[in-house]
Amino acid sequence: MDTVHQLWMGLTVAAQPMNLLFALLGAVLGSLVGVLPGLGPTATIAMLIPTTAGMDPLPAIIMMAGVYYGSMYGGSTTSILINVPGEAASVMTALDGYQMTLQGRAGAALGISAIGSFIAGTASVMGLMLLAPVVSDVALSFGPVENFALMFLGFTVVISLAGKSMLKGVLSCSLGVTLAAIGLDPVKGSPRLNFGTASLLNGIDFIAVVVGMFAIPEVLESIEGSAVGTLVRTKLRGLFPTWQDWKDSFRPILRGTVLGFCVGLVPGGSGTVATFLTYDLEKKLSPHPERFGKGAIEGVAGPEAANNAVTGASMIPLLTLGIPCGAVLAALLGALMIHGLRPGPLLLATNPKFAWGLIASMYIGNLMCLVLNLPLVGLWARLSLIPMPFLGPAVLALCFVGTYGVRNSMFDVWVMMIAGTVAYFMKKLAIPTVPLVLALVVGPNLEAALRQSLAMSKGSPLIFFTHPISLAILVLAAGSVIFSLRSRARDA
Amino acid sequence: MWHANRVCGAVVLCLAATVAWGSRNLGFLTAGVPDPGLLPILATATMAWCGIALALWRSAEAPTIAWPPPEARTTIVGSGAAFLLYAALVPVLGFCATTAIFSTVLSKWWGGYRWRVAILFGVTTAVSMLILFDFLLEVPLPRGSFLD
Repeated sequence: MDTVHQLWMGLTVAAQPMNLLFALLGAVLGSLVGVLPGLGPTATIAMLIPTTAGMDPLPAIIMMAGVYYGSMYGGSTTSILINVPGEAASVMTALDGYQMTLQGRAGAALGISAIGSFIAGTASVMGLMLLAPVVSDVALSFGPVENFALMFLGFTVVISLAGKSMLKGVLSCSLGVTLAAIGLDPVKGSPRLNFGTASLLNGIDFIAVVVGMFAIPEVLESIEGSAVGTLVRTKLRGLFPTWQDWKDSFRPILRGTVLGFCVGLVPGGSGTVATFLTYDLEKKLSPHPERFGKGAIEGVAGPEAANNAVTGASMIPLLTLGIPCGAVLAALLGALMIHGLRPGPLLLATNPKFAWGLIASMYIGNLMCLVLNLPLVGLWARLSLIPMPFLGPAVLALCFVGTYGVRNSMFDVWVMMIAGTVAYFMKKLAIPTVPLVLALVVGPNLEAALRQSLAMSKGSPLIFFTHPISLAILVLAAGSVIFSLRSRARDA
Repeated sequence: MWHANRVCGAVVLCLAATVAWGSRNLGFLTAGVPDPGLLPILATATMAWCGIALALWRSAEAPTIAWPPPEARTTIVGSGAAFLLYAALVPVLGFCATTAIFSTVLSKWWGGYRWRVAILFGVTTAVSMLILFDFLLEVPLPRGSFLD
């Protein structure tokens, strides 16, 4: 009953005109970002931070959350219509969605994708609503030892899942931790790793790194000329699925929702992972697996539900534990901190209007995305064909504005450029960038928890193994590493 | 890929050595209390280990690197240089002028459009961004020392 009361309060807050406007803005931006190559939700959220710095936190974060789940809707449009996934989480949708387009069934594919996304997105927000208070209560008993173990688990899972080489994932993570250490020591206030440079005393701004790492390589790779789509000229008839389409898609949507929600709860679980797992599951469960890859509607419904179910679930560790599950959530965490909010077990208790207003806005935002993405699908499809020679310079100018606007510092712009160049080579060398970004954002909290824990134990690392909850979490972390290594050995 | 891994490993080792040198006076643990150097030293040690492993360990997997095709390499390298030049020119010419020039040149170079189209695009992009961010959203943008 308390949850219902809180949600009602959240709805009254979310329904205020300003918050509704920003939810709509976020849904539009997210759909646009999902459709356009070269600009993903992570870089977009990072770029929005300086433009919203002077605003009330709630509408700003509502808008950024809208960009996050809106991009999941938008990414599927290009996957289905032009076989070019707008987002990594929409790769599996392209396998069967584009085939359906070639068969003249683009409308059904788009319709089931949008409706399945709405069902899953709404269900995952319900899960967020029910689980967030429970997790918050449990996490209130966590101290620095448990918090360190949780963040360590997050790192190990991200390293296990991001990229083909765990060694390179560890390297990426250690680079991020090193970058996070640059600046002033948080305890003693002494300069650290600045090499006598005054500009580095304020540390490396994570927005500059995130924008550079996620936008510049995309633009450079687009110039290489790899992904060019052709809009199949087809009438978008029948955006509402037929009864048979519903029969075929209903169970995949349900399964995708549940699987996506579970994956989203795990630190490191992303929409991409959820869609791969769901597609694989649907193919295994189907009495006709040979239809997959040739226009099976289950191959669209399941993955699309999964990637949207992840969005609500992944907000749970972010809001209640302060642990982001991926790059987008890391950017959201940064946004929350810059707006003076501290995600963690106390957020729901000390800022109930903010927390429940945000949760309630996600219900509304999902509905807005459904309304935006069905009737306007033709417009989104045409926008996705904007040539890169026009889109690229605009994206880079946006990157400049988003980075410079944080501290009015050209140093940050140079950091962005260097980070973008490094990220381009990292992609070529198959070194994942997500662990680096995560470590950069979470690094200060990780260090604080580590130092407090070691201070409590007078320098003995055994404290992490003598606390039962910490020990259990570290065993999970070890388990994820072993499982990942065994999977890789089996696949090799 | 192994050759690339060796180069990468060497670069990482140099980076680790640099960070280790920068952390030399920070301390690690003093009377059981963590010093500012705790996390940097742990990260450096991890980086060094990764660098050595990358340089010496022939990984069982050898994925090919998708370097750009030869005809695109000049464009990629030139574009990278253009991005750096953009960052260098903004403080001098200001955001609006630099963005207009940058957008014009890149759209002409990447897309082969006529100068009229490229200039129209460049000017439109710069002006619309100036209006949106500087005037409407009040995000201050550099005006340039040349104009000041």
